[in-house]
Amino acid sequence: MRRYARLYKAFLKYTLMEQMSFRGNFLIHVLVELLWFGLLLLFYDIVFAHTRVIAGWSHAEYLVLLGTFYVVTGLVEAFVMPNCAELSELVRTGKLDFALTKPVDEQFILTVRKIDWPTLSNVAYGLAAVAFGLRALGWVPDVRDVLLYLTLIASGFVFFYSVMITLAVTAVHLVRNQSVYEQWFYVIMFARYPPDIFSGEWGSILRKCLTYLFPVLVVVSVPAKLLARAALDVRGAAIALFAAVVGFAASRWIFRRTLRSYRGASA
Amino acid sequence: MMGKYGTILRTSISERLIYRTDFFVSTALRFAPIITTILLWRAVFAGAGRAELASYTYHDIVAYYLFSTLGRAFSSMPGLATGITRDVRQGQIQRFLLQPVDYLTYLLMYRVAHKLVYYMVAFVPFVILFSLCRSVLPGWPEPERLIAGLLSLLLAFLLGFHIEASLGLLSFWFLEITGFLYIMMGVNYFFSGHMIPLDLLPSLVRQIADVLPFRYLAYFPAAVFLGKVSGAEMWRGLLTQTLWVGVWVVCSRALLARGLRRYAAYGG
Repeated sequence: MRRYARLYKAFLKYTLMEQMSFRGNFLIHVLVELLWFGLLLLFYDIVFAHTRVIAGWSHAEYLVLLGTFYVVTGLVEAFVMPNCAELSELVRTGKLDFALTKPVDEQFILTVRKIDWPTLSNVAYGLAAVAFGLRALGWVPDVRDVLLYLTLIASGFVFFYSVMITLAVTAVHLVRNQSVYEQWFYVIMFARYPPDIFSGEWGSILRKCLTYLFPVLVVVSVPAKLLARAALDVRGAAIALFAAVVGFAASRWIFRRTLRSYRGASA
Repeated sequence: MMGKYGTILRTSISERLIYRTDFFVSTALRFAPIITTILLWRAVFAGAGRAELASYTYHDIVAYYLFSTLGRAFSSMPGLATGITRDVRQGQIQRFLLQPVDYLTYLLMYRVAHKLVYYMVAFVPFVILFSLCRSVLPGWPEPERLIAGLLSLLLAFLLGFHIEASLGLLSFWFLEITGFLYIMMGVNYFFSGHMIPLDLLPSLVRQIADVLPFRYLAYFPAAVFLGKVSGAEMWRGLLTQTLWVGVWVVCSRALLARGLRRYAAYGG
């Protein structure tokens, strides 16, 4: 375990040094993320100029939701996505062999090695939006809620990690060509909205699927509700935790199985 | 003359059809965001408790997003600018200096092929989507509006192509333009009306959007089909759109000519 911690520290240091050596690029990347976040805020500013609530969510509550979405997806985009994008490249070039011969867990070295530092700024923007939202609501969460919030964020992160790693590693097997970032966009698309907009005949069917079968609606909205409304959705939290644990176990199983069928290209 | 570029068109079409399944799946998936957009706006109208927001009814908004998606299907140029950057940086562009093929015309033909295949595949989801949303659409447009709408889609394609090509050609001067491209993508997304109908913007922002070329990439074709502009105003809009196409054609041609003069090729 100590060895893994030391390795991870080296990954953090090395990737940061690498990316900071192109300082101008780093800064532009951070600004681009800010621009897109600003556009999203502007969109809701315009929409909320016309209405006071959207499916029961006020503007301040919505900021907490949007911020939470940015925190969770920002973490995944910084820590998971660059590794997913690299995986198929490693297979194509035969460099996967080198990773497999290292005396560490394959899934560890293949899925946490790369970190996209500038994208991590999204987490900061998200937290700022959460803070603004809470201030507008005039509400300070207590320690218990903050801890619970962080736990739910972590389980959301693990859920998305499992989904994306599974998609990336099976892409290797199925020789799919679609970019992993495009798939990511479709995975998270629904989580950006409050689950309450999925109503009506078709909407509620969609909502059930996205709550129980593939719980993207849960992993962001449950922690957001906890902070914005001081209300813990116990069933939602249970689903989120369950999805994280089962998702992780499943992704590990699939990862191992898929790698076993990898035949190597260089040796 | 036509034969040469006709061959490029045919070859590009068969190239696009190599990854068929992938292409079908990703095209179908591209329609998914429209579902959340519709659900969101339904909740907005329910929350506002009003039938109209800035002259848009709920039906108008849904129809607007359908038509602006159609506009984007013509005007968006994924990979064009980054492709040019790659050609310039890796020296592929030399090929076009040696062969009697004009670089921009080649790219245009390649893009036409790309779009034709895309429409063949996207035709089915578009028809399903439009027929599902039949009740919110304004009805079949009269001939004049139909012609104007189709013309504005065609012009949106040409405008989108030449704007994106001009951005890509900047790589003759700058080593790294992806950051810049991402910023332009955001500007385009907002000012083209892809994000929100421009009529809903605060008036100052609206005035800025009206003098920029981006509104002709998605907002204007949608406004024509929706009947938000008519008569002389509609044709004036088409004229302005044509002028913008002219401006960007000249711009991209000038950038290519000047860029090639700067460009130094080694080896080969």
